[in-house]
This record gives sequence, structure tokens and C-alpha cells, in this order.
Amino acid sequence: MTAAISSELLKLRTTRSFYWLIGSVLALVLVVTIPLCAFADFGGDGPLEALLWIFGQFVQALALLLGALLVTSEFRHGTITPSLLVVPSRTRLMGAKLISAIVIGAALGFVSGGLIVAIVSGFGSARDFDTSGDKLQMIVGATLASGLYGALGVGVGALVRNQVGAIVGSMLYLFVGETIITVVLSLIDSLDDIMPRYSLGAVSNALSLVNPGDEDVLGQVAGGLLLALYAGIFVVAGFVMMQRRDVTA
Amino acid sequence: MPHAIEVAGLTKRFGSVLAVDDLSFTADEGRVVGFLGPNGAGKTTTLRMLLGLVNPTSGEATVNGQPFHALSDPVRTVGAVLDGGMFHPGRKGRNHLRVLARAAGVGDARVDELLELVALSDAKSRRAGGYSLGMRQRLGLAAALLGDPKVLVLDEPANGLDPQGIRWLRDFLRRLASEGRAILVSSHVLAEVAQTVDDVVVINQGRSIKQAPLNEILADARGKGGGVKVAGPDVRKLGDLLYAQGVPVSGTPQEIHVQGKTGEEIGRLIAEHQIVISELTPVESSLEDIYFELTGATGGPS
Repeated sequence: MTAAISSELLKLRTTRSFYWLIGSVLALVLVVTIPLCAFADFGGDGPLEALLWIFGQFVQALALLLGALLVTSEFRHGTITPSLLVVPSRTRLMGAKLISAIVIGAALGFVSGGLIVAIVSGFGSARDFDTSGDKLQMIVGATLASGLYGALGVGVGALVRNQVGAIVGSMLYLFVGETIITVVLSLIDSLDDIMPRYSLGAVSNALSLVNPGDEDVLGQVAGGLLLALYAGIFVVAGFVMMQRRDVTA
Repeated sequence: MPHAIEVAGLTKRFGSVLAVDDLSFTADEGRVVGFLGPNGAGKTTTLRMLLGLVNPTSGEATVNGQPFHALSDPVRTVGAVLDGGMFHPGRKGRNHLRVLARAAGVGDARVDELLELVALSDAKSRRAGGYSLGMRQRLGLAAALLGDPKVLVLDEPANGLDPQGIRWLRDFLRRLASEGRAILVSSHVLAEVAQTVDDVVVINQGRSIKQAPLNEILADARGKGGGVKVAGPDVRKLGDLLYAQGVPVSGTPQEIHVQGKTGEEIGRLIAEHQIVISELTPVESSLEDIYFELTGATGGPS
């Protein structure tokens, strides 16, 4: 299993898109966070929660994207065939992808969350704006949330297989679909607290301890468990599909 | 001792299409087995079932007596190139091999050794997307050889190769077979593998239609007459005469192909009608003819 995981990580590291994706998101974090903390005027609340929230969304989406790429890229380029010839057990191959995606996702969440906390804290103490918040818990939450999004991506990729479909579909759902469903459901009194509490975005916000709208959200642990459950459902469904599928390309 | 490759009663149905129909054959070490059939005959599906990529509807395919999934060390037991090997176009050739080597527990030194073996050392730092078809096939071969397996399964390895590449491949495969490996190589062009294979399995529409050593098939080919070729400025006249007698004739105004008449019979006709010819040659039935006869192909696209 270690060999299969090491191979999966090498697969990521030997394509340029991996570095582009990671590099651009981390660059974006720095390019926005540093000038903002250096020059902007904050009222009562410091920027920590808002920054963690907005970049959390980006980084989690990126983790999902990388997880999905780990699977769909193999089908797109047909490398699934040589991959299965060296690792014939599909469960083992997919398991290696799952663990790799969780590791990469978690690392991204940790680095980006850590950077934001460090930058905000640094400028906050120099410029004397509010930097309160349970920083350690926030970093832990960001790390776990991104890791779970990586797992979710592997599940989605295994289910959909088509690279464009998996990526466009999941991004549309994350950035458009949930908002639309939230708005529609908010019009119905008996259903209006479903999305703010249980949607993918809501549970990952709960897990990362960011709640910019001050909604009535789940606790960190409950949010984390629910996110893990969502990811688990996709992963199990994806693995079952992979197991039964004929690999013809 | 179990056969290196054994396919027994293998059947695959995709919906209403019976892709492989009760197919059985074996391949042993030290032999190159040509797995032949027109496009769509079920060759690739058979090989994919052998390698655990496609689940058979019924029947069984084994390597050294075990299904592919059950092999304790698959990479060191069997190597395969399917569809010319497949690459991420943005990954460098050497890295493609390193990725597979790592999963297989094979070191990078072996990767470089194989790049040397398939003559890709100079191109190893280029992205595989820029490789020519021949280079891709060779990179695929290198991947198949990572674990130095005794059994090789190659799907259309000559596809897209230029004559030089085909010769290289032929020599390469002969060398691998002489090292005592079992090689199963599929092709839809008999001529590509005729100089490489020891045994031939011909399938059409998913069914086995001929299994024999190549020598036997060649002996059959010599036994059968393939007609007579006549060329010259007036062969059209000859063709008309023969045609009038009900003899099957085909060809061009300069060169005709006559079936069912001996050279002597045609010669007499030529003398009788004082026709000028430049060439009169009996034609042996070629391997291709035998192949077409076996697969029932008419020469049109299948």
C-alpha cells in the first residue's frame, strides 16, 4: 500500500497542472491577505474569520479538484490501464488515491490556514486590530476540511470518471448550486434551516469554525462528522462503481 | 506445469453484443503466439479479460494457472502493453516509468536500464505527449518489462510503426522469446507478425477459427494454388477470351489474375490467339489470402 501511495503522489508531482493549481491558490492567499492586513481599515471585527472563510472555500474546492483529477485523469488519458496492471486490486489503487488526496488536501488546508493565521496575527499585533479566535482549532478545522474535500473529490471522480463532467459538475454545485438551493429553500419556512446547517458549505464552515453570517450552525465536531459522512458516501459509491466496471480505455 | 497463458471458454457479452464467444487457447514459454483477427474481432477484449481489466461473462483466463487478480507478484509475472501503452501527455517519459516502477516496488535504476533497452534514453526527459507513435509503443514496452516478467501480452504493438520500427519490434520480440518468455501478440495484420510468431490463433467475431503453428499454415498456403498472373500489352484481349469461357478473371488492362486455369492452359490460349504478353506467373496463395479466407473478409473495411 505504501508503494501505491508513493506512486500516486509521484503521479501528481510529475505533472505541471499540480504545481500550477497549488501555486496559484497559495499565491492568491498571499497576494490578498498581506496587502489587506497591511493597509485596510477594520472596524470592530478583525479580518481573520472572513479570510479563513473565503480562502477556505477556494482551498477546499482545489482539494476536491485534485482528488477528482487523481481519478479522472487516469481515465482521460487511459493511464488507468497501466496503473491497474501494476496494482491489480482496484480497491488498493483507489485506496492509495484516497489517502493521497486526503494528505494533499490536508496539507493545503494546513498551509493556507496557517499562512492566514500567521499573517493576520503578525499584522494584527503591529497595527493593533482584532485577531481573536481559536486559532489552533481554526487551523485544525481548515486542515481536516480540506483533507475531507480531497476524499470527496476521489469519490466524485470514481463515480463520474469523465474529467470535465466531474470538475465542472462539482464546481457548479459548490459555487452555484448550493446558493440556489439555499435561496429556494429559504422561501419555505419549514425547510429554511436545512441548507444553512447541513449543506456542504455549511458543514465545512462549521468544521473550520468560520461563520461569517452568524448563522445557527452545527458545532465543529458535528460539522466534521457530517462532512466525513458526505465524503464517505461518495467514496463508497465510487469504489463500488470502480469494482464492477469494465476498464476498456 | 500450468500454461503461461490459458484462456478457457472465455465469453464476454456487452449488452446485446457477443464480443468474445467461448474462446480457448494457450501460450507457453519460449513461444510467440500471434493473436490475429480483423478489427472488432474481440482481441482487445480477450486480452483485457486476461489482465483482469474486463470482467468475463463466463469462462476463465489465467496466467501461470492463476487469474491475474490472484497473482502474488503481477509485475514480475506478466507485463502488458494495451492500446500502445497510455500516457499522461504532460508527464515525461522517464517519469511515466518511474510512477509505475514505484507502485511495483521497482527501483529507478531499472527504469533507466529499460529506457536504454528500448532506445529512448535520449528522449526520456521529454514529455510523452510529444512522442511519436513508435516512441510511445517503445515506452509501453519498457513499462511492460519493468518487473522482467516471463509472460508478455502485447496488443497491436506494431500499430502505427514505420517499417524500421516494425523491424526493430520483430527483432526485439524474437530476443525476448529466445530468453524463454511466453509472448502473446495481437495484430490485425498478419504480415506484421508473420516473421515473429511461432503459433497463430485466428479469431473472428469473437470465435476461434484457426489455431496452428505458423509452419503448418504456411505449408497449407503452398499447397493451394492461387491462380496465374499474366501481364502484357494485350492481356485485355486474353481476359475477354477467358471471361467468355466462364473463367474468373480480375485485374487491369495491363495485368490480369486468372483463377482455375494452369499456366500451361493459359499459354496455349495465348499461342492460339497470338497474344503478346510480358509475364506469366503462377501465384502462390499468400498468408494474407489464407487470413482473408479464414476471417471471411472480402477486402472491404470490416
